[in-house]
Amino acid sequence: MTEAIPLVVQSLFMHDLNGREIVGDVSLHVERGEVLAIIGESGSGKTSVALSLLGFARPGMRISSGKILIGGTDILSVSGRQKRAFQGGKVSLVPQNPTTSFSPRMSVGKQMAELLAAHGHTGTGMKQLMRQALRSVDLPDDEKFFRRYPFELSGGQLQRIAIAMAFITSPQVIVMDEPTTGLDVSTQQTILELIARLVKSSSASVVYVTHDLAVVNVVADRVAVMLSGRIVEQGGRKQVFAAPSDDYTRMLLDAIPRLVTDCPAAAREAEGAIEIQSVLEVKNLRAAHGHVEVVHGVSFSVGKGECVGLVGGSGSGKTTTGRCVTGLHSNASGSLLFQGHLMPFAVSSRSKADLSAMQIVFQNPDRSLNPKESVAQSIARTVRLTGLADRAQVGAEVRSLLDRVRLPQRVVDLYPADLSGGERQRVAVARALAMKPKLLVCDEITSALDVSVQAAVVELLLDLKKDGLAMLFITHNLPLVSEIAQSIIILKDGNIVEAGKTNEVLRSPQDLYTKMLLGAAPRLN
Amino acid sequence: MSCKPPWPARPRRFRFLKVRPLNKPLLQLLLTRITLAVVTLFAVSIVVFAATQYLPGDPARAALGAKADPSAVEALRRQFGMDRPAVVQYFSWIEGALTGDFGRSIPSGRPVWEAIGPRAVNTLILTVTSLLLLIPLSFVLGILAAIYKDRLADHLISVPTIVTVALPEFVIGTVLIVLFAVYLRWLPPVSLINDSLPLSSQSSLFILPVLTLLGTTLAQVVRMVRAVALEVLSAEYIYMVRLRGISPARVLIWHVLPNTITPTIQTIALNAAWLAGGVVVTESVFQLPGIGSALSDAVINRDMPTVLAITLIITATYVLINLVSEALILLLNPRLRVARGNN
Repeated sequence: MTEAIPLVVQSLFMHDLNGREIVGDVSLHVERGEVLAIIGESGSGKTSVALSLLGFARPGMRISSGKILIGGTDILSVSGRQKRAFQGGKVSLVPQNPTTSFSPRMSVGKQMAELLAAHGHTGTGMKQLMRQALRSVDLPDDEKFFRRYPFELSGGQLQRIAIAMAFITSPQVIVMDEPTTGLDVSTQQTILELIARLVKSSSASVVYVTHDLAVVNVVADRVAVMLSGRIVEQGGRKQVFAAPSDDYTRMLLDAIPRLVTDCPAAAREAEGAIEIQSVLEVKNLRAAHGHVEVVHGVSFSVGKGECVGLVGGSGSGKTTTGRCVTGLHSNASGSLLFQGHLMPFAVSSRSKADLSAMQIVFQNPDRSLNPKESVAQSIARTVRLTGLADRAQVGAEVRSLLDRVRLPQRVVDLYPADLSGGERQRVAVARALAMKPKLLVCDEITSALDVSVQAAVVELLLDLKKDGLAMLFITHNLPLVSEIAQSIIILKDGNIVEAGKTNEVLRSPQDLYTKMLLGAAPRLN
Repeated sequence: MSCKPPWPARPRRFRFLKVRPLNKPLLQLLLTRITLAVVTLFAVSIVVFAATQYLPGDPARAALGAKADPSAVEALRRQFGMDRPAVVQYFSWIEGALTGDFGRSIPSGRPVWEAIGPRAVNTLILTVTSLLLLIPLSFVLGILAAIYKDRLADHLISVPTIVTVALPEFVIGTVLIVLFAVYLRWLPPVSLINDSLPLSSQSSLFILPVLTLLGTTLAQVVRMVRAVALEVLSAEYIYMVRLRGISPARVLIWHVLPNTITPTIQTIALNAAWLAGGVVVTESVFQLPGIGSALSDAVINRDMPTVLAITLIITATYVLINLVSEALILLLNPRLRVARGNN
C-alpha cells in the first residue's frame, strides 16, 4: 500500500459574502518533507489558501467547494472535535505576526502546554516535549522562560516559540504564513535558517506563503505563483526562477531590488564631482526616550539632490533620528543645520518656512492618510497651505502633483480605501511634495508595499531626486538602499558604525555589523 | 466510559486572577493611588462643608419654626456649636468624622449615626446585591451577544438592555410595580423595611428595587463587554488559539474572558459608583428607607450634620470603588505584575 500524499488540495474555491471569488480552482499537493512556496502580492488570495489548509476561512469569507486532503482525510468534511484534532495536531500554522498571535495574558509555557494537552499529551512527557521543542529553536528551556508572558519577549523569540509549537505535535502539514515579514533582516535571516533546519530534520510537508521572492530562494523546493486568487504558475523553484513561463512571474522577478554594488547613481555623481550644496547638516545628535538615550551622537549631512540611506535593524535608532530631524521628537540634543541656519528640535518652535521645506512620508499610508478625505481633498488642503487660494489654481496644482507621482487623474475623487497600498503611498508622497520641500524624509516608506509596487515607488523617488530634492531614506532594506542612495549610514544601537558612498560601503564593508547585514539580506542568484 | 478532559487535571482556579507577590513599582503605583484617594476625600469634605455653610436657610430656625423666639434660636445655635467660626467648626467636625462620630441630628438631637446606620445597611444591601448580579450577568450577556453578533441572541440581549437604559429608574420602577405588584401580585409595591424585624425575613422587599437598579446599569456594561469581546474575538491570537485545536469552551474561559475583563473594569466601577449615589430615586420610588431618602429628608430639614455625614459616605464609597477598580486593573496587568526592570 502506498502512503497517502500528506497534503492534496483539489480545485479549491473561496468566495466572500457578496459572492465575489477570492480563490479560484486552486489545486496543489505537497510531498513528505517537501516545501512548497506560495508566492503572490497582497490580495492574491495566498493567505486565504494557507488558512483554508487548516479548515479555516477568515470572517467574511467561506470555502465554497473543493477538497483539502490531509493524509487522505478531507479536513473540510469533518467538524467539531474531529476537526480540532486536525488543527494543531495534523496541520499547524506559523502566523505572520508573532507579537499579536499569542494570548497576551497567558504565559508562553502555559500556551504550549495548552496545545499539547489539547492533543492528548499529559504530565512529564509533555514537559519534556516542551523543553525539547524550545531547545530545537535555540531558546532557553527552564521554568523561568516558561513563565514569561508574550510581551516580555521579542518578536524573534516569539516567532521561534510559534515555530516550535508548529513542530511540537509532529504534524503532517505545516503552514507558514509569511513568518518572517514582521521581523528585521538580521532576525529574519536566523529564523529562515532555523526553519530550513527544522524542515530538513522533520518529515512534514510545508506550505510557505510569502511575497518575498528572495526568501523563497532560501527555503522552497517548489513554487506556486498566485495572482487574483488563481495559480498562474507552478513548478520547481529553480525552473520557475530561471525560466518563468508566465508574464506575471517574470514581472515579479524583475521587480525585486537587487544589491547593486556599483550603484549607478553614486558612480554618475562621482564622475561629475559636483560641489554639493548641503541642505541638512546633523551634528552630534543625541536623542532619548524618557531617560534612556537611544541615539548617541550621530552626525551626517544631506546635500541637494542627494539621497542618504539611513540603514539599521529595529532598535538601531534610525526612526528616532528621522523623527528628530523632522521635529517630531524633541527630547534631543546636538544641532540641526537646515539650509544653512540652526533649527530648533521642537516642531512648534520652527518657522513656517522650515516646516514646509521639510516633509516626511511615513511607513504606513493606511495610517497617514485620513480615510474620510478624498485624494483631492487631502492634497488640496496642503496646497492651500502654500498660500494658493483660487479654486481653479488649487485644482490644477493637485492634478500636476498627481501627474508628478504618476497617478491617473481618475483617482482625484477616490478615497484611500479605494486605492491600493502603492497608490496610497504615492498620494502621501504627492501630499508631501505639495509643500515644495527641499528635503524629504522617507521612513520605511516601501516596507508595507509589495515588491512590484515598491519598485514603482523607488522609481518615483529617483525621478524626484533628479529634480534636486534631497532625501533622507530610512530603511532596513539594504538592496533597496543600494538602488537609490548615493551615501549610506549604517546605524547600530544608536551609533553610526559605518558611513560612506553606497557602492564603497557595500563593496568593501569595514564593520562587522555591516557585513552581517549584507550577508543577511536574502538575494536571488 | 469515562470521559477524560483533554487537558491535565489541575485546580480550576482562575489563575489569571492570581496575584504574585507585589513588586516594588507596583507597590509604588498602588501607594500613589491610595494617597490620591485620601487627598480627594479631604478635598471633598472641605467642599461639602463649605457648601453647607453657604446653603440658604438656618438649621436652627428650620428646626424651631419660623415664629420661634430669636433667643431660643440663638441658644440652639450655641448648643450645636454653630456660633463658632466655620474653620473651627470644620475641624471639630472632621475630627469627629474620622472617629466615626458625625455629631447629632439637629431636629431630633439623636446621634447622626444612630439615625442613618440602619438605613445605610439597607442601601448597602441594595447596591451590593445589584452589583453582584450586574457583574456576572453583564459578562455572560455581553460575551454571548458578541459571539452571536447580529443574530437572534444578540438582538434578544441588545434590544431590551438598550430600551431599559433609555428609561429613567422611576419609569422602570413604576413598570415593575405595575407588573409584579399590581397585576401579578407576587411582590409588595413598596419596600417599607421595618428596622425592628430581621432583614432576612424581608428579603423579598429588595427584589424590585434591585431589578430597577439592574435595569438602569446593565445595558451600559453589557454594551461595553460586547464591544470589548467583539474586538477580542476578532484578535489574531484568538484565531491562533482556535487553530491549535483548543476547544471553544476553553478558548472562551481562558482567552476571551481574561482579555475582556480588564478593559471593562472601569465601566463597571463607574456603574458601581453611580449605584452608590444614584439609589436616591429608586429608594424613593419604593419608599425604601435607605440613605438616599435620608439625604433628601435631611436637606428638607436643613439637618446639616446628617447631610454632611451622608454626602461624605457617598463620596467615600465613590472614591473607594474607583480605588478598587484602579488597583484591580494594576494587579490584573501582567506587565506590571512581572515588571523586571524597564524594557
